[in-house]
Amino acid sequence: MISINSVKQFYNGATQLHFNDWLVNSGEHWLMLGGSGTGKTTLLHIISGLLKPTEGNVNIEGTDLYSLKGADLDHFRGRNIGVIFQQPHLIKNLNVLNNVIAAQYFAGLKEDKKRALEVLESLGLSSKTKSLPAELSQGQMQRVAIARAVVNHPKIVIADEPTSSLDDENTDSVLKLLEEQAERNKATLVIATHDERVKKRLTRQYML
Amino acid sequence: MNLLKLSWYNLKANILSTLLNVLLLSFGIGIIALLMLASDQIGKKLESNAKGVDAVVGAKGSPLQLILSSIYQIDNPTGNIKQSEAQMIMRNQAVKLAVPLGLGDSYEQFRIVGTNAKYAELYELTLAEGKPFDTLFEVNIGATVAKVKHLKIGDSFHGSHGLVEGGEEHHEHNYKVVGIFKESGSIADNLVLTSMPSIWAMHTESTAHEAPHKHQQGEVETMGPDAGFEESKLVHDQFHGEAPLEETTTPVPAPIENQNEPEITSILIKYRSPVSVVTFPRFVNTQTNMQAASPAQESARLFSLIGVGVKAMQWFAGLIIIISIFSVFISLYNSLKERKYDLAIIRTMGAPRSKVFLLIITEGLLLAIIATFIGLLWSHGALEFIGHNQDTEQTKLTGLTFLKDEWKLIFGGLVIGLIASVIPAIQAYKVDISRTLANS
Repeated sequence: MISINSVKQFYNGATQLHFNDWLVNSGEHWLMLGGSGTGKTTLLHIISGLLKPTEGNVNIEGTDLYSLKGADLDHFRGRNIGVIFQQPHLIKNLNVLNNVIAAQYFAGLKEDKKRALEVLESLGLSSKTKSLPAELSQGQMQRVAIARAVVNHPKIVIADEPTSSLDDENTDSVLKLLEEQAERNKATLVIATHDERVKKRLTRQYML
Repeated sequence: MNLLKLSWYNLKANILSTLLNVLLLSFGIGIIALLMLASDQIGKKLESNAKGVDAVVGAKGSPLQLILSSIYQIDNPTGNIKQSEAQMIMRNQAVKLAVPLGLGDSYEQFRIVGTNAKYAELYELTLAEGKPFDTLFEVNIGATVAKVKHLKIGDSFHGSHGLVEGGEEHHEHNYKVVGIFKESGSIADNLVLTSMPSIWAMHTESTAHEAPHKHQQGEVETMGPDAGFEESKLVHDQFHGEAPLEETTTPVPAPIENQNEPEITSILIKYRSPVSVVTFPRFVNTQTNMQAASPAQESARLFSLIGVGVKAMQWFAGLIIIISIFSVFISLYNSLKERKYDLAIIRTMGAPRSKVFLLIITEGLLLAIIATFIGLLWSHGALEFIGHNQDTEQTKLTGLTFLKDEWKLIFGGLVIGLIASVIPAIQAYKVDISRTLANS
């Protein structure tokens, strides 16, 4: 469950972003829609626990997110929230498997190679586990990023423009995989996008 | 997955700058280690060779030269002293132990030293096999001599004239090995010891049968062929430390009158009491035409001369280390710019600030420790190589011994890694995740 209440963000005291209250129930799949400059990334960072809003509060699965401080917030994020970015941004000197295992390590969880391989397999990457990111296609890299986001069984998966750099075919398969993975891991899914190709797929939409 | 592994992957990914940093730092650390090892080994050698010797009495000249020739067996002797004068010194109240030395011959690269049984006593030498030298032309050899020349008990060889290889050989007599010393770590390992009379006799024969050859400075002069048997027997016994010196009945002839009186090179002296440190050298230097030199003073002087060079090298090494600190710092700092986004992702995945801080520190430390070990490795290798190619057996260096202080270098290496990585690590600590991700 995600709920945001009277969240406001000020930039340098001037620009004000005011976000409508929003309630996402567990397991639901949502789209967050808005053109550039509407604060899409800002809100995404706020609900991912990366940016403390100037005002208002964010509740994730019963936890007041910003009552947590420092390392506690980091740990909470690592265990409960999986984030996928516009660019996959894999660690370039680690191979695919180690990129996924690194997500377990940085979340402070026990290394579970079996789980990492299982996730990679479900994303069709079994043959690429030893490859370095540079050897993968854009679509494959984005799939590794998805694997990294879901490997720790997060309660919430958040994707920021996951399809903007992909062609139609890859867009389709990445979206399908995102929904499938969210389903499989019983995670709530929020996709921020302005991509017309995505809008058709999900009915629950939050407009900025 | 752990910080060490992640750091290692990072270093590997930037292999060229890693190589440059390792090269620089290992060079700096290596030079310091090399200096430490070499000066420790030379210092120990100097110390162990001068052990127990309070003074050396010999012909006037450079006191440093006298010490170098008589104790360290490196330089040429300062000249000869008459046996009668030597006896006068040996009988002095201040002297507890006096060991005569006769230099001037060698067996290939090893020096032949005429002396008596007290030399072995002074240097605490024990025979590994065989017996002490006694009759003419019997020798005891040091462990290194035996090893290098493959000499066994009963083997014999020709000595040659002069202190360097290639001198005129003494063909008339063979030296015969009757004893081999255990390895002592001192200069004695590289010496051939024989009795004074053997040295004299070796030269007596040559002068008696051949045209008199030119003598090098410091070479032992021959004993006249007309020397009476009784006298030579007594001298023999005295120089073997068997007959008490006081019992010499023969009146000591004035040196100028007796041209054929045997000569020796120098005397190693141990005092009866520490008081003599001041009085004895003053007596010798003013009352006789010989000089007394103190090994402690002269090696301190020698060390202070070498010390200037060592200091310069240390500064040089220090400079290289400072450059390497900057180099490691700059590489980490530059790579941080590229990796800022990676670090933000790592933070997003749940890593707290402290973890990314430690990640950068670990990288600096890992690099420094690799460089330190490589530095130590090459310093030992280089020293072993130098030792292997050294001509002078006396101060042979080895890279196979380790010093306790090398731990300090390893510790120092870690500190260097820490200094170089702390600022980049603080930068990594401060990375604002949201802003970094938004600006990509």
